[in-house]
Amino acid sequence: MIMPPGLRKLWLAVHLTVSVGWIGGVVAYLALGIAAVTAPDDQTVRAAWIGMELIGWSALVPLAIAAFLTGLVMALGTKWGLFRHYWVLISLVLTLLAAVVLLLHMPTVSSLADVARESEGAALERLGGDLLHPGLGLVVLLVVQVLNVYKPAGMTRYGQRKQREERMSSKP
Amino acid sequence: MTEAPETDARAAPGAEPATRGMPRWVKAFILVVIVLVLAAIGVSLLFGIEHGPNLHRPPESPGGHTPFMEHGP
Repeated sequence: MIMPPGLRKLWLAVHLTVSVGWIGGVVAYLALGIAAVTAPDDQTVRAAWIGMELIGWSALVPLAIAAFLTGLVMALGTKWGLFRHYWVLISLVLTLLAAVVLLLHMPTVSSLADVARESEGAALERLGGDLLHPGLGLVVLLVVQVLNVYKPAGMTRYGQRKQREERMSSKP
Repeated sequence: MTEAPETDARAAPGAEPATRGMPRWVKAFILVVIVLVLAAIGVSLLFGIEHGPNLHRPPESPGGHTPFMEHGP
Protein backbone atom coordinates (compact mmCIF):
# COMPACT_ATOMS: atom_id res chain seq x y z
CA MET A 1 0.00 0.00 0.00
CA ILE A 2 1.45 3.37 -1.02
CA MET A 3 1.14 6.09 1.61
CA PRO A 4 -0.42 9.45 0.68
CA PRO A 5 2.17 12.31 0.43
CA GLY A 6 1.18 13.98 3.72
CA LEU A 7 1.47 10.79 5.74
CA ARG A 8 4.70 9.86 3.95
CA LYS A 9 6.32 13.17 4.95
CA LEU A 10 5.20 12.79 8.54
CA TRP A 11 6.50 9.22 8.67
CA LEU A 12 9.76 10.32 7.05
CA ALA A 13 10.18 13.04 9.71
CA VAL A 14 9.71 10.42 12.44
CA HIS A 15 12.11 8.01 10.73
CA LEU A 16 14.79 10.67 10.32
CA THR A 17 14.40 11.84 13.92
CA VAL A 18 14.79 8.39 15.47
CA SER A 19 17.58 7.35 13.06
CA VAL A 20 19.68 10.46 13.65
CA GLY A 21 18.83 10.22 17.36
CA TRP A 22 20.25 6.68 17.37
CA ILE A 23 23.52 7.94 15.87
CA GLY A 24 23.66 10.74 18.45
CA GLY A 25 23.01 8.23 21.23
CA VAL A 26 25.87 6.02 20.03
CA VAL A 27 28.23 9.03 19.99
CA ALA A 28 27.23 9.84 23.59
CA TYR A 29 27.74 6.16 24.56
CA LEU A 30 31.14 6.17 22.88
CA ALA A 31 32.14 9.30 24.81
CA LEU A 32 31.30 7.50 28.07
CA GLY A 33 33.17 4.40 26.85
CA ILE A 34 36.28 6.50 26.26
CA ALA A 35 35.87 8.11 29.68
CA ALA A 36 35.69 4.62 31.26
CA VAL A 37 39.07 3.80 29.71
CA THR A 38 40.88 7.09 30.24
CA ALA A 39 39.46 8.49 33.50
CA PRO A 40 42.03 8.46 36.31
CA ASP A 41 39.53 8.23 39.18
CA ASP A 42 37.13 5.47 40.25
CA GLN A 43 34.10 7.73 40.45
CA THR A 44 34.26 8.73 36.79
CA VAL A 45 34.78 5.14 35.62
CA ARG A 46 31.84 3.98 37.74
CA ALA A 47 29.65 6.86 36.55
CA ALA A 48 30.62 6.16 32.93
CA TRP A 49 29.54 2.50 33.14
CA ILE A 50 26.27 3.41 34.88
CA GLY A 51 25.68 6.09 32.23
CA MET A 52 26.38 3.61 29.42
CA GLU A 53 23.81 1.22 30.86
CA LEU A 54 21.24 4.02 31.15
CA ILE A 55 21.84 5.38 27.65
CA GLY A 56 21.79 1.87 26.24
CA TRP A 57 18.46 0.74 27.66
CA SER A 58 16.58 4.03 27.73
CA ALA A 59 17.80 5.64 24.49
CA LEU A 60 19.70 3.29 22.17
CA VAL A 61 17.38 0.28 22.35
CA PRO A 62 14.10 2.23 21.84
CA LEU A 63 15.66 4.36 19.08
CA ALA A 64 17.09 1.29 17.32
CA ILE A 65 13.74 -0.51 17.35
CA ALA A 66 11.92 2.67 16.24
CA ALA A 67 14.44 3.32 13.42
CA PHE A 68 14.07 -0.24 12.13
CA LEU A 69 10.26 -0.24 12.29
CA THR A 70 9.80 3.23 10.77
CA GLY A 71 12.27 2.34 8.00
CA LEU A 72 10.34 -0.85 7.32
CA VAL A 73 7.07 1.07 7.01
CA MET A 74 8.73 3.74 4.83
CA ALA A 75 10.03 1.10 2.43
CA LEU A 76 6.78 -0.84 2.26
CA GLY A 77 4.64 2.32 2.11
CA THR A 78 6.48 3.88 -0.82
CA LYS A 79 7.39 2.78 -4.34
CA TRP A 80 10.93 2.05 -3.18
CA GLY A 81 9.81 -1.27 -1.74
CA LEU A 82 11.86 -3.42 0.61
CA PHE A 83 13.66 -5.75 -1.79
CA ARG A 84 13.63 -3.78 -5.04
CA HIS A 85 16.71 -1.57 -4.65
CA TYR A 86 20.11 -2.65 -3.39
CA TRP A 87 20.54 0.44 -1.20
CA VAL A 88 17.24 -0.25 0.60
CA LEU A 89 18.06 -3.94 1.04
CA ILE A 90 21.57 -3.25 2.36
CA SER A 91 20.22 -0.54 4.68
CA LEU A 92 17.64 -2.99 6.02
CA VAL A 93 20.22 -5.73 6.65
CA LEU A 94 22.71 -3.35 8.32
CA THR A 95 20.04 -1.72 10.50
CA LEU A 96 18.72 -5.10 11.59
CA LEU A 97 22.26 -6.34 12.30
CA ALA A 98 23.07 -3.24 14.38
CA ALA A 99 19.81 -3.52 16.35
CA VAL A 100 20.26 -7.25 17.05
CA VAL A 101 23.90 -6.81 18.16
CA LEU A 102 22.78 -3.95 20.44
CA LEU A 103 20.03 -6.08 22.01
CA LEU A 104 22.42 -8.99 22.52
CA HIS A 105 25.15 -6.72 23.94
CA MET A 106 23.08 -4.72 26.43
CA PRO A 107 22.76 -7.51 29.09
CA THR A 108 26.58 -7.64 29.15
CA VAL A 109 26.69 -3.87 29.64
CA SER A 110 24.25 -4.23 32.56
CA SER A 111 26.47 -6.93 34.11
CA LEU A 112 29.54 -4.74 33.75
CA ALA A 113 27.71 -1.72 35.15
CA ASP A 114 26.81 -3.85 38.20
CA VAL A 115 30.45 -4.84 38.58
CA ALA A 116 31.44 -1.18 38.30
CA ARG A 117 28.95 -0.30 41.06
CA GLU A 118 30.52 -2.82 43.43
CA SER A 119 34.19 -2.61 42.47
CA GLU A 120 36.92 -0.10 43.12
CA GLY A 121 40.59 0.41 42.53
CA ALA A 122 42.41 -2.04 40.28
CA ALA A 123 39.33 -4.23 39.69
CA LEU A 124 37.45 -1.21 38.37
CA GLU A 125 40.39 -0.18 36.25
CA ARG A 126 40.58 -3.63 34.66
CA LEU A 127 36.98 -3.31 33.45
CA GLY A 128 38.19 -0.99 30.73
CA GLY A 129 35.66 0.59 28.45
CA ASP A 130 33.30 -0.44 25.71
CA LEU A 131 34.71 0.95 22.48
CA LEU A 132 34.54 -1.89 19.95
CA HIS A 133 30.75 -2.31 19.80
CA PRO A 134 29.77 1.38 19.70
CA GLY A 135 32.67 2.15 17.35
CA LEU A 136 31.65 -0.51 14.83
CA GLY A 137 27.98 0.35 15.38
CA LEU A 138 28.65 3.99 14.57
CA VAL A 139 30.44 3.03 11.33
CA VAL A 140 27.51 0.79 10.32
CA LEU A 141 24.95 3.51 11.07
CA LEU A 142 26.94 6.09 9.11
CA VAL A 143 27.10 3.71 6.13
CA VAL A 144 23.31 3.34 6.32
CA GLN A 145 22.92 7.11 6.52
CA VAL A 146 25.13 7.66 3.45
CA LEU A 147 23.19 5.01 1.51
CA ASN A 148 19.91 6.71 2.45
CA VAL A 149 21.14 10.13 1.35
CA TYR A 150 22.84 9.12 -1.92
CA LYS A 151 20.46 6.29 -2.87
CA PRO A 152 22.93 4.69 -5.32
CA ALA A 153 21.31 3.21 -8.41
CA GLY A 154 20.82 -0.49 -8.81
CA MET A 155 17.77 -2.70 -8.79
CA THR A 156 17.71 -6.26 -7.55
CA ARG A 157 16.51 -9.06 -9.83
CA TYR A 158 13.25 -9.03 -7.88
CA GLY A 159 12.93 -5.26 -8.42
CA GLN A 160 13.61 -5.59 -12.14
CA ARG A 161 11.03 -8.35 -12.47
CA LYS A 162 8.44 -6.31 -10.57
CA GLN A 163 9.18 -3.31 -12.77
CA ARG A 164 8.67 -5.41 -15.90
CA GLU A 165 5.41 -6.80 -14.54
CA GLU A 166 4.14 -3.31 -13.73
CA ARG A 167 5.03 -2.12 -17.22
CA MET A 168 3.27 -5.06 -18.79
CA SER A 169 0.16 -4.53 -16.71
CA SER A 170 0.08 -0.78 -17.47
CA LYS A 171 0.24 -1.40 -21.24
CA PRO A 172 -3.19 -1.19 -22.90
CA MET B 1 13.05 7.94 0.67
CA THR B 2 11.35 11.13 -0.36
CA GLU B 3 12.13 11.16 -4.05
CA ALA B 4 10.42 8.84 -6.43
CA PRO B 5 12.42 5.75 -7.26
CA GLU B 6 14.24 5.93 -10.52
CA THR B 7 13.06 3.88 -13.43
CA ASP B 8 15.29 2.28 -15.98
CA ALA B 9 16.51 5.52 -17.54
CA ARG B 10 19.12 3.83 -19.72
CA ALA B 11 16.63 1.62 -21.52
CA ALA B 12 15.08 2.91 -24.72
CA PRO B 13 11.52 4.15 -24.25
CA GLY B 14 9.06 1.35 -24.76
CA ALA B 15 11.80 -1.25 -25.05
CA GLU B 16 11.80 -4.28 -22.80
CA PRO B 17 14.61 -3.65 -20.30
CA ALA B 18 17.25 -6.35 -20.14
CA THR B 19 17.96 -7.80 -16.70
CA ARG B 20 21.06 -6.10 -15.40
CA GLY B 21 23.45 -7.72 -13.00
CA MET B 22 24.62 -6.50 -9.64
CA PRO B 23 26.00 -2.93 -9.75
CA ARG B 24 29.70 -2.41 -9.23
CA TRP B 25 29.22 -0.51 -5.98
CA VAL B 26 27.33 -3.47 -4.46
CA LYS B 27 30.11 -5.87 -5.50
CA ALA B 28 32.71 -3.53 -3.97
CA PHE B 29 30.62 -3.22 -0.81
CA ILE B 30 30.31 -7.01 -0.42
CA LEU B 31 34.06 -7.41 -1.03
CA VAL B 32 34.89 -4.84 1.67
CA VAL B 33 32.55 -6.58 4.14
CA ILE B 34 34.12 -9.99 3.43
CA VAL B 35 37.64 -8.56 3.86
CA LEU B 36 36.68 -6.89 7.16
CA VAL B 37 35.03 -10.04 8.53
CA LEU B 38 38.03 -12.18 7.55
CA ALA B 39 40.38 -9.62 9.09
CA ALA B 40 38.38 -9.64 12.34
CA ILE B 41 38.43 -13.46 12.45
CA GLY B 42 42.16 -13.46 11.68
CA VAL B 43 42.95 -10.95 14.43
CA SER B 44 40.88 -12.83 17.01
CA LEU B 45 42.52 -16.14 16.09
CA LEU B 46 46.01 -14.64 15.97
CA PHE B 47 45.79 -12.80 19.28
CA GLY B 48 43.35 -15.17 20.99
CA ILE B 49 40.83 -12.43 21.73
CA GLU B 50 37.61 -13.87 23.06
CA HIS B 51 34.39 -12.13 22.22
CA GLY B 52 31.83 -11.63 24.98
CA PRO B 53 31.75 -10.47 28.60
CA ASN B 54 35.14 -12.07 29.29
CA LEU B 55 36.65 -9.39 27.05
CA HIS B 56 36.15 -6.98 29.96
CA ARG B 57 36.56 -9.45 32.79
CA PRO B 58 39.14 -8.61 35.40
CA PRO B 59 41.70 -11.43 35.72
CA GLU B 60 40.96 -11.87 39.41
CA SER B 61 37.75 -11.22 41.25
CA PRO B 62 38.13 -10.61 44.98
CA GLY B 63 36.96 -13.52 47.11
CA GLY B 64 36.21 -15.74 44.13
CA HIS B 65 33.14 -13.65 43.41
CA THR B 66 31.94 -14.09 39.85
CA PRO B 67 29.61 -11.19 39.20
CA PHE B 68 29.40 -11.90 35.47
CA MET B 69 27.40 -15.02 36.11
CA GLU B 70 24.70 -13.13 38.00
CA HIS B 71 23.10 -11.59 34.95
CA GLY B 72 22.34 -13.80 32.04
CA PRO B 73 21.07 -12.45 28.72
